[in-house]
Amino acid sequence: MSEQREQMRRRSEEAARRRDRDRDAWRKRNEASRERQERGVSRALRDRDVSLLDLVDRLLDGGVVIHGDITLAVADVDLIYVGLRALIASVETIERDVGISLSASGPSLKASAL
Amino acid sequence: MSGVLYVYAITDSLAQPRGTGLGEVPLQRIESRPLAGIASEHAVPPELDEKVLWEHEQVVENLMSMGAILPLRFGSSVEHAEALIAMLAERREEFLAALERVRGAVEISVRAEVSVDPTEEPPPRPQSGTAYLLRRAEEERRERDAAELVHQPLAALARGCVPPASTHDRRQFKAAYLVEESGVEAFGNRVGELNTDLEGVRISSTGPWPPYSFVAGGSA
Repeated sequence: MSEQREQMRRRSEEAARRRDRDRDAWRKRNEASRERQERGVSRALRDRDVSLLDLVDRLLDGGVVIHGDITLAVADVDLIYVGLRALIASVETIERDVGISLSASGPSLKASAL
Repeated sequence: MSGVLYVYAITDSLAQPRGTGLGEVPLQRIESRPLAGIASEHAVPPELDEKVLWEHEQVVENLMSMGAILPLRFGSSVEHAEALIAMLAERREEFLAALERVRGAVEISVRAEVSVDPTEEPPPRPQSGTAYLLRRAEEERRERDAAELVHQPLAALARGCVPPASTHDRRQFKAAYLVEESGVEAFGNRVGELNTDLEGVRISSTGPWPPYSFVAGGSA
């Protein structure tokens, strides 16, 4: 079990490095999205560039839940938290870049009207 | 233990899954007829970050071309195929009913923010506690009305909504609508019209999404 944990820790570190790289890609996409908005192109239904909040709502709060002893093993819980911290950091980056803000009571889109 | 089976969706389609799973790992159909789970096998469960969330979403979207699917919550994994088969058999009726509800439809997310009209005179400072309470009640009523003005016309174009009607009484309106695939464009147009027509209300919508919010009963 501890070996598995170590393996997960290494994977988290790798993921952190990947994220730094991915963040540049995100920023570029967000800039592109903002440019489209500034050009007056309406944010179409398909435009999901800044929909991370809706994505998180769905993937982490929606969907079929499988219960009991066949769900995530205890060792995986750490991993989820490591990932969540990284995710929150990413959301903060997006918030800064595109002006979406998170209220204390929960996520809300404030600057991406259709 | 060689790893975990990471499960993306449940379907009653007989089609082979399109695309690959996370990390381009091949997808497997694990059947408990008439249902099947779509999964990929991994040495350790995938970690949670925004890249992997989008990747997961892409896998599930590819699966939507098979027919009706029920997306699983992110991070759902089982240790072996038998566990998944047992779960599918045990909850068969529930899943079949949910598949019928979402068949041919997609999910659209709508958020609306009700803001104070900037052209309106700021209300005078309340002279008493009663005056304050009255003003607050009036503000709440207006917010509630605005939420209904967003919700009613959209609900009319949708097969279902989560949360159900008349529970939108907050300044921050958030709802998911289950919309026929053929009605997505009309729905989007309606959102645009409402955005123009409703003063002080800013609406944003995203989608179409797999029906994450409609996998459980009682949402129609």
